[in-house]
Amino acid sequence: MRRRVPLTLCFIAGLFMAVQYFIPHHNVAAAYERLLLWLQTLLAFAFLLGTVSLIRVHYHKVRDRAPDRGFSIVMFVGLFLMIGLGFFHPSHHAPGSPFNRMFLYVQVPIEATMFSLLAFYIASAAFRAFRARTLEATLLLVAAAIVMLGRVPIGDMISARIPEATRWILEVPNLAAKRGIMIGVGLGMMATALKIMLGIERAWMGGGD
Amino acid sequence: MTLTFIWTTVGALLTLCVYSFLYKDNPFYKFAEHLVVGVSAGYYLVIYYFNFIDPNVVRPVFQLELGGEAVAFGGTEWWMALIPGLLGLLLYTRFFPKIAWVGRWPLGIYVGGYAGLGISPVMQARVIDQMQAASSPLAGVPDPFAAATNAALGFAIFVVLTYFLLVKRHIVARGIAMSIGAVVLSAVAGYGGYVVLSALSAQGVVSMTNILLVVGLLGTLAYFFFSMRHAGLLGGLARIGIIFLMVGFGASFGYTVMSRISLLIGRVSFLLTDWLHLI
Repeated sequence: MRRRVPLTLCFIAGLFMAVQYFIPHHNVAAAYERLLLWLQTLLAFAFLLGTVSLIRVHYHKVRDRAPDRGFSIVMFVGLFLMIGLGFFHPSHHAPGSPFNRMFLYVQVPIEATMFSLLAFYIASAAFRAFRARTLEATLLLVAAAIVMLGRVPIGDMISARIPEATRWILEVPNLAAKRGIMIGVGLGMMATALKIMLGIERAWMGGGD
Repeated sequence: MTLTFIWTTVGALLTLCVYSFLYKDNPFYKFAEHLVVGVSAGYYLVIYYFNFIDPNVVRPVFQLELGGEAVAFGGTEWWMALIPGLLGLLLYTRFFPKIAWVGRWPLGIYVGGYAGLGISPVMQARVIDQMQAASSPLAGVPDPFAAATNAALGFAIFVVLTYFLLVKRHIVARGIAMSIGAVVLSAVAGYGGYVVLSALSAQGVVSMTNILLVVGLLGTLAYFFFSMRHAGLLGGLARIGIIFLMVGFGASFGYTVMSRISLLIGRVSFLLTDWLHLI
């Protein structure tokens, strides 16, 4: 009951979703649309569950007077402010609404800046990785240098051949390697999906009975 | 002071808070970090609720309305809306250890549904389409990359021959004159290869680019084939595969660096143009 039912549901849902592509019947299409809607709704409920877990973690930090509990309060302020603005402010999604402005002027700048921070750290990582000790490392170094130069105006100013070489690297050796990786990943994804459907892979059920 | 300027100032100060991490981990960075966790969780919660839970569960079940049409209480549509709602609520049983196992039911439907849904598109896009694209004619087709491919192959002939003569045939040990001769011979062979390949490409006899794409693909696949020892033909192919993979990884690295630099330029532009109006 505790393991057989979820495994059976997993198999039935997976089998239906896999074979519905090959049954061009309006009833099957309607059932597919319905199940897809259920899955999307479940995703929304799961996200809500994640938020509840987030609240629990930070609530415990505040309750136990952890040293950095002040930041947990900052998290609560951000979370409940967005929930309040989203649920209780009319037309929250309209451009110019406080909810929309919180997204544009708080969430977007912080996320974009965090990603741009990587520009600094990737440079130090490159310094360590790009020591041309072997043929492979040299190839990596040369390919990266040409691609970086070829994507900025200075590359074209040095030589018109550099953007041309960049295009060649991206569309010939890079494409061949990526295609091989993509085929391998695709076969791996299908094998994993089958393992999940057939109950061989059960990590999603967690531990316990 | 306009409202937009106040919001831009908030965005700019938060940007500076995040950049303060370049000095070291500090309270300003932690403030921005925790704020974005809360704000983004709240944002997606509202979006998911109004996009999925409200129209598909709350409205048809409690307000008896679905997509602008009335829903009969206890009818098929009403039940079809109630079921995902109940399944969704079952996920929360994990907070009650005695009945936590019931939470696996909706999880089973979700995991199995998306696993099955992915099989055909993955097979089509990642395997069949890729193999189809790799199965291009090796001759008699226009080759836009002929010049670059032939130059790269000519250079590869030069490098491989130089390595073979100097290291494998121990010519480097026979003196500087012999070594220079070996390098010159390799350069001539490389240039000769380039000329011959260019002539063949010009005649449309072979498309070296397509041959290179096929060899690179086979090499990459051979490198990831671990069911046999990498020796002999498989070993050689795997060695070629490593070369292609390294060029590919280098290209990806360069591409990623440029995209991050582009983001950095965007943030600096936000600070100097949108906020301070200096540019």
